[in-house]
Amino acid sequence: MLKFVVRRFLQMIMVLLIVSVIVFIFSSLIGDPVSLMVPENATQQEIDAAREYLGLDKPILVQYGIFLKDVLSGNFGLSYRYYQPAMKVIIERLPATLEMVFVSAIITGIFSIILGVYSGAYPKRKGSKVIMVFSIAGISLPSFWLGMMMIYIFGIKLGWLPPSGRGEIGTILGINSSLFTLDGIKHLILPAVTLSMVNLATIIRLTRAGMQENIRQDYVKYARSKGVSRRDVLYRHALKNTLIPVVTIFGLQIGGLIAFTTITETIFAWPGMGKLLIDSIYSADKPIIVSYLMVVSIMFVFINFLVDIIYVMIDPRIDLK
Amino acid sequence: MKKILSILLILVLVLGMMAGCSTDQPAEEPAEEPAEEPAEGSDEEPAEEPAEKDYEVTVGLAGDTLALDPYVYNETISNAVLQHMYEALILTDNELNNVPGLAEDWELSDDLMTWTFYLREGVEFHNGNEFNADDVIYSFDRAQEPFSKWTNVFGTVESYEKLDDYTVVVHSSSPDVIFLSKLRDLVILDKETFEGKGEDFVALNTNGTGRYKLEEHVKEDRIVFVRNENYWGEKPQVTKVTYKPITNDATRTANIMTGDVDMVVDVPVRDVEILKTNDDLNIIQQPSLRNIYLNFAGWTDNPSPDAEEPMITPDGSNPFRVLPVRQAMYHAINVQEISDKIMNGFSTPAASYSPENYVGYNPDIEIPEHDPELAKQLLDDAGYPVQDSGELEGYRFQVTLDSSNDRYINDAQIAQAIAGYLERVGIKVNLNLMSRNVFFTYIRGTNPMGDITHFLMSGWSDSSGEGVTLASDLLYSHNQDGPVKEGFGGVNRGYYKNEEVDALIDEALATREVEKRDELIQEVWKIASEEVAYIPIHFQQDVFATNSKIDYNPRPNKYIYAWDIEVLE
Repeated sequence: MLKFVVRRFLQMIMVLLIVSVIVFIFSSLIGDPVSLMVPENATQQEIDAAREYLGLDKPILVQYGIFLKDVLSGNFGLSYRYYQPAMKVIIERLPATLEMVFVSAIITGIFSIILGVYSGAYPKRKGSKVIMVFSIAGISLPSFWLGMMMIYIFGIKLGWLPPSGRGEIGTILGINSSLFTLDGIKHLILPAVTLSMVNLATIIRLTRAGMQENIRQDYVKYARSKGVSRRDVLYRHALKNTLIPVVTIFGLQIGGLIAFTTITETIFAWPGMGKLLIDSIYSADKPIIVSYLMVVSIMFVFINFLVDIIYVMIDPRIDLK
Repeated sequence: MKKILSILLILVLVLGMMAGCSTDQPAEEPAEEPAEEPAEGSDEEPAEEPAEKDYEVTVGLAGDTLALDPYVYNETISNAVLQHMYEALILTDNELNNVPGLAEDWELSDDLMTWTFYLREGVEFHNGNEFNADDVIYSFDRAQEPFSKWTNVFGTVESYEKLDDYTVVVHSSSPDVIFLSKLRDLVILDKETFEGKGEDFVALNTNGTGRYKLEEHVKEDRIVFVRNENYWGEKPQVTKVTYKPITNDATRTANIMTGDVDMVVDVPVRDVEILKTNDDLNIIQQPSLRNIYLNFAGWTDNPSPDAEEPMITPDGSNPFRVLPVRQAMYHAINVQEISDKIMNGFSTPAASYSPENYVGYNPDIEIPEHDPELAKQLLDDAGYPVQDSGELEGYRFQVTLDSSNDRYINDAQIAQAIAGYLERVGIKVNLNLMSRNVFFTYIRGTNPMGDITHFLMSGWSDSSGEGVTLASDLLYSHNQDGPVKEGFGGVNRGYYKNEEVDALIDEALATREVEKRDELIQEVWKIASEEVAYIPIHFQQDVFATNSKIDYNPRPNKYIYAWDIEVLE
């Protein structure tokens, strides 16, 4: 186990180094932050001064060297737009995104397993057909459209839920989250549901396919003939064997949700990280873009690590070594 | 059992991550305000005086102010939001006239070279510090640091000094009668609070003299102000105002429809009709100060020498140099149709760069008639007939039109329409659309890629109220490799050259009487129009929506201030 952790850690450092080089060089190509910072009628001296202030007057390799040196001392640079340390800006935004992803993951986890098992076990029933239609819709409807429809129906027409923004924030056990107030939860429902749709649909289909395959296996027939109840056979035996690919995909999806909820956050004016990333790209805010993608890489390595551990819990035959 | 335990463990881990990140969210400013408000106290004894009522308003903006430091940005949203807390020496009234702010009075010496400002006494910053000349000197110094976007305010300033605690003198290097209009967005910071602090401190902390104090700023979510009960001037009616940045157009519209906000800015043109059907909502519109226009490199023999897609003409000459060609292009473009079809009527076709209420606006200039046949005739006569062989077959010459596609309202569609109009008279147009993070470097003649643009569409606005500022940025002579006069012609991207215009601008800058200045600048617009120095297309419209709870009186420069909002009883 310890060996496994150490190996993963070394892998992570490699990944980070590679990501930093790629991102650093490519983000220099997406636009010139200086031209967005100075007034349009700025004189050449003003432009040069701004470029020097940002350290962009040096060759790109020198810039990268300075960046690496600073990162080793924990400094990811000052955001060009917020005039705050880049890492601080990102971490400030993390809770808003995490709570949305957390709710979305719970919705996805619960509903996709129940609906997937049901439609896999009883593929001929009417209910299963409805579920399949729903899942096709969920996969094919783009989230910006779905989000707008949600706002239109639940916000404007029915008036049940607020159309956008993050609600009131409560504190329990030192954790600040809008999950702890009624107003906060109301604000959270629409974006979280919108965010869940695609993943929910994907995982329903994945679970269903796995169930259909497993249910034909001999061990299921054997268990049934042994007298195990139908429910137990489905949820204890067949589901367990279905879960390995589901957990892998689910893990990757969660990572994707935390990192790139850009569209949902923009539509719902949600002050999270995805919106930060897209705004930073639009304005060529390199310190934020680079730090952000570093954080995302760390997170993916970490999530995959968790997924590996969950494999062992589901199937003890898997050996981490 | 073991499994349940480990699942619990993972949950704890995830929650732990959330906790670790969430501790430092609010509490930017401990704030000492609520105690001072009479709210509860006055309720107990209703007495003769009408009890102070709370008027709270929520406004949906199109973007956030990214830093609370007033000097690191110079753009409409940040300026307007931060001016709730900070004030300049000079303020403006609803028609953009100068009115006393932190300077009670001012005078200009007879040689037009020295400004004296008499500061208002007894003004306090939000934390109780006294305002005096030291704060002004400190702010002027800070506004010229490398991070500041306000250095051009000091273009003609040679030096400034404090005479006594309430008098500041500014010496110019050349006469600059419109210095006041440059000063009026330059707000004053408290020296004691900010001296020696870095940009990251000023970006989070505030201490101004303005009508409102900061209560809370959650980036990209909301910024909340409460009324400053110690304000030196007339206190506004609204006691608490919340600005919410809602960048998605449709979401902003949804918010005004559900009543979650009382007012929204930048209503998308396509949503106006829907909102009008709702009796509870009012649409307010005004022509904005932003002019959309075309510039052509018509005053050089060597346009865009470094371009990958250069201009192609049969004989290698620059057709933009020829006045009839420029006139023909203007005749070819149907400005009215662009306004009707692309802007849904939400634009005002323009005959010059100058908005109507600006000093120097010339009402006699007219938009030339849309006449493609005349355009073809002019082009034929100018020596650019349609070619019947070679790479230009079927066309007279080929140009590249550079335009942004995410900066101005419907900019990409307008550029496409213009390309269509020009193709119809035989000018082949290579359309080059790009994002604004590339565009503004791309069209700068001195950019690292070289001079690569000869025909472009862009926009410009300033809120000075003075045509001479517009003219000195847009029309003052400028060479391809740099300015003729430092600080002038910064956005003269066609390299327009005319010594007569330069002289008129210089004279206007040294003319104290408004009427005289008006005459001089009217002449500038007239000359530029006769020479077709540029092709103005239109002024955009500012569109606001409010609910019936409030009444709003917009400013020409689109600065949203809480004191322009009236809560109806």
